[in-house]
Amino acid sequence: MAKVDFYFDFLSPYSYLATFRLARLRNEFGAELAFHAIELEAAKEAIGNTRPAPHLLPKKLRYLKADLARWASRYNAPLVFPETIAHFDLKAAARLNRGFICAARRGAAEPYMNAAFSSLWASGREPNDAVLKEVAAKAGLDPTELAAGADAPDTIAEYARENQAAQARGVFGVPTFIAGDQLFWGNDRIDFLEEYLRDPNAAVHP
Amino acid sequence: MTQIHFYFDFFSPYSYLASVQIGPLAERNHSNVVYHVVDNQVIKANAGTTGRPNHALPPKYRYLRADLARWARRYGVPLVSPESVSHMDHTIPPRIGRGFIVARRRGSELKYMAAAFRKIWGEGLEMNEAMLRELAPEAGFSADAFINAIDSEEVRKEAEREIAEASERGVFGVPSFLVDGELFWGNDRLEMLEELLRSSSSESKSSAG
Repeated sequence: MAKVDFYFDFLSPYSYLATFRLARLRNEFGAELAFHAIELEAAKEAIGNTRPAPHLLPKKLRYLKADLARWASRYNAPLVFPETIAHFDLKAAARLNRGFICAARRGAAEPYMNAAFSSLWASGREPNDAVLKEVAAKAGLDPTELAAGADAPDTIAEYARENQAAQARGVFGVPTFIAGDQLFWGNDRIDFLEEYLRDPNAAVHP
Repeated sequence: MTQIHFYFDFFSPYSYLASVQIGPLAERNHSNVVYHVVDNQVIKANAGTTGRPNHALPPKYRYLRADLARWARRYGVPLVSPESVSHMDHTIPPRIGRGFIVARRRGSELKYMAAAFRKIWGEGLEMNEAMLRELAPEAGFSADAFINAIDSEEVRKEAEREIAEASERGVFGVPSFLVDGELFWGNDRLEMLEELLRSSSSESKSSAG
C-alpha cells in the first residue's frame, strides 16, 4: 500500500472531479488515501500568487465551463456550474472545509466530502449555513452539533495547522496529490500519479 | 479538412511540448495545422490575468520543472529548463516569435519553429541576441537581414495583429488549440482535442454513409 495525501478545497471544481478517480486509485493502484481539506486562496497567497481566480475573468470563465463539462462527460459525473460563484460567501466556504475536520473525527470523512462536493458542483448550490447542515445530515451527523464544531477553536486551530502543513510540503493549489516525495497538481495529472504508483522509478527529481 | 489553429509562444515550455505533438496528431486525424505565434504576456494581459509569472513563484516553479520532466519523458523529447529565465532580457522572446513570421515568408516556419524550440527548451540555452542570429539560417536569411526583418515596423504590426485576433477568438494563454470554435488550453488537453477530431471524423463518415 502506498500512502497518498489528497489535498482539496470544496470551492474547487477540479477537486470535485478528482474524487471520481479515488476508487480506482485505491482498487487498482493500492493507494491508501489521506484526506486534507485546505484553503486554495491561502495556498496561493502563501507563495505570492495574486492571479485572479479564473471564474472572475470572462474569457477564462467561458473556457472553464467548457473544460469542466468535458471532464464531467469523461467521468460521467453530474456537474452544474454554480452561477453565483462570483458572489460566494467565502467564510461559509471555509466553514464547509472545517466541517470536514469534524466529520473526519466522527469517522464520516468521505460521506461528508462527497455530500459537500455534490451540493456545490453536482447541484450548483452555494456554500451557506443551510448547505452545511444538509451536508452533515447526509453524512449521518447531527447538523447542529457539526455546525457548532466547525466554529470551535480547536477545529479552527486544526484547520490552520492543515493549511500550514500543506504549504510546507509545497502544495500551492488544489487538487494536489502527494505520494512519496512526488507532488501532482491537478485533476489532469492523476494519470502521472497512477504511473508513479505502478512504477516508483517514474519519480522525477529535476 | 479540419483546421487546427495552434497558438504558441517560444517562451512557453508547454508550447514546446505541444509543438512536437501537434503535427503528427493532425496528420493521423487528417487535419491541417495553422500556426499562430503570439506573445503570451500580452494575451494574458488582454484576458485580465495579472500577478507574477510562474517562474517568480518558487514553489510552483519547482513543481513545474518536475511536471515538464514527466511530459518530456512521456513524449521522449529532451527538455532542459533555462537557468536564466528570471533575469533574462525579456525583449528577446517576442523577437524570436517575430522570427517565425519572417520565416513563414520563405516557407521555413516549421524548420524555424523546431530549431528555436529545440535551442530554448530542448537544450536550455539562453535567449539572447546571439541565439537570434544563429536562428537566421533556419528562417532562410542571413543574420543581418533576419534581424532587420524581425524588427521592421511591418513585421511588428503583423505580430500585433496575430495577438489581437487570438484574443478576439477567446485565447487567454498558450498553448491553445481552436477547432471549429472549440477552444482547448494546454498541452495537457491534446488528448481531448484528438477525441473531438476523431468524433467529428466519424460523424462525417456516418453522415456520408
